[in-house]
Amino acid sequence: MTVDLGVNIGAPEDIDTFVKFAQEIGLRVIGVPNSILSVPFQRVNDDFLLLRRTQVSAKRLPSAKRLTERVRRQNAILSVRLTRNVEMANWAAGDTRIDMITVDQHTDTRLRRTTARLAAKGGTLLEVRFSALLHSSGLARSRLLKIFRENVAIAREANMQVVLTSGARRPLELRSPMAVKCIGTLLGVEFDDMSRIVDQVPRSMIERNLTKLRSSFVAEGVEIVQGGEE
Amino acid sequence: MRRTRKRYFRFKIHSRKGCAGTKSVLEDIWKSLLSIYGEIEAADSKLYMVEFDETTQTGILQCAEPSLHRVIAASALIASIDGRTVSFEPLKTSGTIRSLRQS
Repeated sequence: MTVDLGVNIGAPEDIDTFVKFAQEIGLRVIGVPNSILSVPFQRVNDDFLLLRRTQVSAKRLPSAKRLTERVRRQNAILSVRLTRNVEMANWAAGDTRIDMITVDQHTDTRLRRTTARLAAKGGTLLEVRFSALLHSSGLARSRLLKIFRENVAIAREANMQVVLTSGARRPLELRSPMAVKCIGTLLGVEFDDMSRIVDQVPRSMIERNLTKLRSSFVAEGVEIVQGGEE
Repeated sequence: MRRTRKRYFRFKIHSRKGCAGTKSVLEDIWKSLLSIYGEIEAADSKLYMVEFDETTQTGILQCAEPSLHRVIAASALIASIDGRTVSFEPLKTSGTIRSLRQS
């Protein structure tokens, strides 16, 4: 399974083009915005899976918590963008309902070491969206790389897992797993570690979340195997 | 001077409209490599286009072994060639051209 957890499809009618191209370059699972998909996940054919993701954004922490409570079961992936709001970042890192903390071209801050440690304990991933690297050059790209590299280094130092997503707005912004592995080396990750980042890390998160979405799931390790009569 | 081992990789350029020419593909890979890794690394990569089929948009590039992942990373960051949006897909890497041609 090769996965891109963050694809920014703009309109539902574009899904087919994205899926076709994603399959062509070897992807099997993509995460799409909640405006595109109404169910938490959808199999396009035997070989391809679409996952619904929502970025939890709120000005204040109580609103973010309420939003998370409301949308968790309607999404396969929940993420929170890394901002200067430390309280929000720490909550996202520690709350097991949040899957990823996102770093993209709008990020102007660094992950705190304590936040990264919390995330490592709670199993929250650091998502790096690399689409902006494709459209920038020179000083702008260098600044972007600085932010990405610093955050990746802090996360890895604290044993927080990292995933790379394309953030593609057009099909041709998607990159094949092999290309993503090499792009990862730009962020300071060794090529051999990238196999895990591209495949194993997102796969285990997806498996965990899809298990939780089953109606038979009660809690971690507790599942209804057979229903009794009333 | 110590000889460095060479590596080859096959790639494909995906594009919606039109085809990219051999010269512009190689030039854009060079530019991207130069922009990201600088002049020394670009020179040390010993980049060379072995072949490029403009109809299928697939080709084989040769580079120095230590630079392989850097060359692929730089190529993967190319968003457009000749004003056309493209996606660079590395298909296979190998130590010999023969195995790439056979696959």
